[in-house]
Amino acid sequence: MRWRHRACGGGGGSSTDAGADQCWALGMLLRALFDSKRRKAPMVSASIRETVAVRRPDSEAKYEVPVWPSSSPNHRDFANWRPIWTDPSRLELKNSSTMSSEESAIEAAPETSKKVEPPKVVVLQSYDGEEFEVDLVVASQSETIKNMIEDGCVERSVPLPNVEGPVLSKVVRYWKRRVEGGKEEELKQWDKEFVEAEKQQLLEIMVAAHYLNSQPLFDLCCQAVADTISNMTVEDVREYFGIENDLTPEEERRIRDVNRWVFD
Amino acid sequence: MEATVLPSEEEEEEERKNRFSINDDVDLLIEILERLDGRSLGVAACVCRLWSSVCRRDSVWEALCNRHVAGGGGGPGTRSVVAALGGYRRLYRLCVGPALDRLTGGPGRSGWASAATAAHLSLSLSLSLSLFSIDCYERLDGPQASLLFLCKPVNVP
Repeated sequence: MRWRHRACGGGGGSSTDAGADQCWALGMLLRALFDSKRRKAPMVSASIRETVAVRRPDSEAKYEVPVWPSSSPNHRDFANWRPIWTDPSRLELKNSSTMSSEESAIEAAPETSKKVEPPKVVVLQSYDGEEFEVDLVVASQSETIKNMIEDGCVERSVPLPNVEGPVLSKVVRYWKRRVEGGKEEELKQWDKEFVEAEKQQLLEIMVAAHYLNSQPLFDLCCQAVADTISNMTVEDVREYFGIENDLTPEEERRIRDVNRWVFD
Repeated sequence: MEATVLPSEEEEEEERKNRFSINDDVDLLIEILERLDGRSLGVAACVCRLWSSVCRRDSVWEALCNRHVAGGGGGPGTRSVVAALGGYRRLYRLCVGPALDRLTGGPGRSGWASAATAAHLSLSLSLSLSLFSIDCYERLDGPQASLLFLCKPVNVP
C-alpha cells in the first residue's frame, strides 16, 4: 500500500488543502474498491499524514505529526494545533481514579470551543449494521480505534466496514475480559477457553484483530490457528482454509521430494 | 423443481466468493506459518503454489529456529553467518530439526517434560549448532579450511 501513499504525499507538498483533498479522495476511492471485494481497507489517514508531515516544509518538530483539518464539522484549528502531550494545559486528570494516565491524556479538556472532547462511550458499528456500545478503555484495546479517537475523528460512533457483527461481538468480549485484568494464569486459562469456544470463527476473528490492530488478540488467534493445523495432513489443511490445489502433479511430486525429510 | 435448485446453488457460489480466503492476504499467511513447527512447515509447503513459495522464504524458517535457540537468535550478524552456512531452511533441515527430534525423543512428540530438560535442550542445541558450523567450515575448499591451524604455534614479534 505504501507506494500509493508516497505518490499522494508528493502532491501534498505544494498546497496543503488541495493535497489533503486529493489524498482524502484517493483514500476513499481505494477504500471503496477494496470494500467491494471485502478485503482490508488501507490505513489511509495515518500513513498519508505521516508522509505529508515529512514533506511539509514547515512541519514543526522532527517527529510531530500534524493532523489534517478533517472534513467533519468539528475539525481542529490547524494553525493553533499542538499535540496533547506537549501542552500541559490540555492535560487534566479526571476525577475517576480508574482511568490510567494514558486514558486521561486521550481525554483532555477542551482548549477552545472548537475542540471536540473525546467521548467516554463509543458505539462500534459493524459492516452489517450491528452496534456495540463500549467504554473508551475497552475500545482503546484496538490501536486503530485509539488513533481515530485521538485524532478527533470520532464523535460517538465508529464505523468498522470490514468487521461483521458476530465477529465484532466476540472481539468486544475478549477486550472486556482483558480490561478486567487479573492474574497471568487466569488470563491464560480464559484465553484457552475463548479459543476453544470460537473455533469455527477463528480465521475471521484473526482478520478482524489484524484490521483493528489489537496485538494480543491477533497473536492469540494466529497461535491457535497454527496449533490447529500443526498436525494435519496436506488435504486437511487445504480443506480447513478452503484452498484449491493449483499444483500440477509433477510440481507436487517435486515439492514432496524436496520435503521428504518431513514425511519420514 | 429447477426453480428451487438454482437459487440455492447461487447462494452457495456467493457464499464461497464472500468467504474469507487466507491466500488473499500473504502477511496473515506468513504470521501463521511463522508459528508452525518444522514438520508442519513441510506439510504446508505442499498445499498450493503460494504456500510453497512462502515456505521457501527464509524468514519463516528463521522464526522457527529463533524460537528454539536460546537468546532469540541475535541480530543481523547472526543472519549473515547463517546465510554463509546456507540459510535457515538448510540449518533447520540438517541441524536443528534432527537435534530436536533426537532430544525430544522422536518425531511427533511435542512439549518438554519439565523446566530442567528445557535448559538441557537449549544447551544441547547450542552445542549442535557449534558442531554444525565447524563442519561447514571444514567442508570449505582451500588450504585454510581445516581448523587444525589453530593448534600451530603463533609467532608473536
